[in-house]
Amino acid sequence: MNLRELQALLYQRITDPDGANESIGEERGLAPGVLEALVHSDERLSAFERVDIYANAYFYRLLECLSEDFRPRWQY
Amino acid sequence: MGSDHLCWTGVGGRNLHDLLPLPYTEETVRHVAERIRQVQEILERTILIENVSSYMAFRSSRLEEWEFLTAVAEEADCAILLDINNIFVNAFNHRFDPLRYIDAIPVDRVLQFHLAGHSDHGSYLLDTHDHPIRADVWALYEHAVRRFGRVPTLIEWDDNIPDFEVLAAAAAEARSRCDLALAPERLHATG
Repeated sequence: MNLRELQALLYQRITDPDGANESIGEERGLAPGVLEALVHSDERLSAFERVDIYANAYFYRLLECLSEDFRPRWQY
Repeated sequence: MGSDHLCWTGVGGRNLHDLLPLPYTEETVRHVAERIRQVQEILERTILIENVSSYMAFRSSRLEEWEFLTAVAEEADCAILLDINNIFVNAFNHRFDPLRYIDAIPVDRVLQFHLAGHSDHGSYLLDTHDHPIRADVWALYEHAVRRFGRVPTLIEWDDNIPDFEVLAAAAAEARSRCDLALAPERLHATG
């Protein structure tokens, strides 16, 4: 897998509305073991859990942006 | 002086608005260094590249993070902005010795330090810039000062921002720790 393919796969997992967890990956057609073959895991965090940290950050960042843009309108 | 992070942020014209780690390979070194050289040519000045915090590492990596950072800086002939907190965070998240990292970075390329606070999530540390600088990071900073000397230092605090007095105290502590770390050298130099 080259750099662009790796980035495209991670982009897909990070921006998935249901997060980066393993069952969702399989639902989206990600072959079993693909993420584990790319990303290190240990007894603290699996490969999916490590990618999920970025997925959570992505959605919290979106929520923060939307909140900042629309909160003033909610106040009216 | 301009700087940017040694990372990727998007692909195919779409942005993740985050700083994601790269695989540490010779191929990536060439890929990134070529782009840094282009930026430096256009700006007609040397830029700094900064190490990022990370929560995943790739099995395809063939270099340690510090070897990758050094290789990119040397291939691109650019400077390094060393984020001491990010080294500490990554040392915990990826289980390496942060002193080994600092001791491997070429002295003459480091032109700035960053310091920050992070959040402890138990199984990993998150670089949140919303806490006071932890004692372990201060200790690492002193080690870095002893290796790299008096390097301009920026404290990053961009969430849960405290009163100005707290920020000023953190800056004063950085100056004081820098003085302390260099004191034996000064005493030696003055005989």
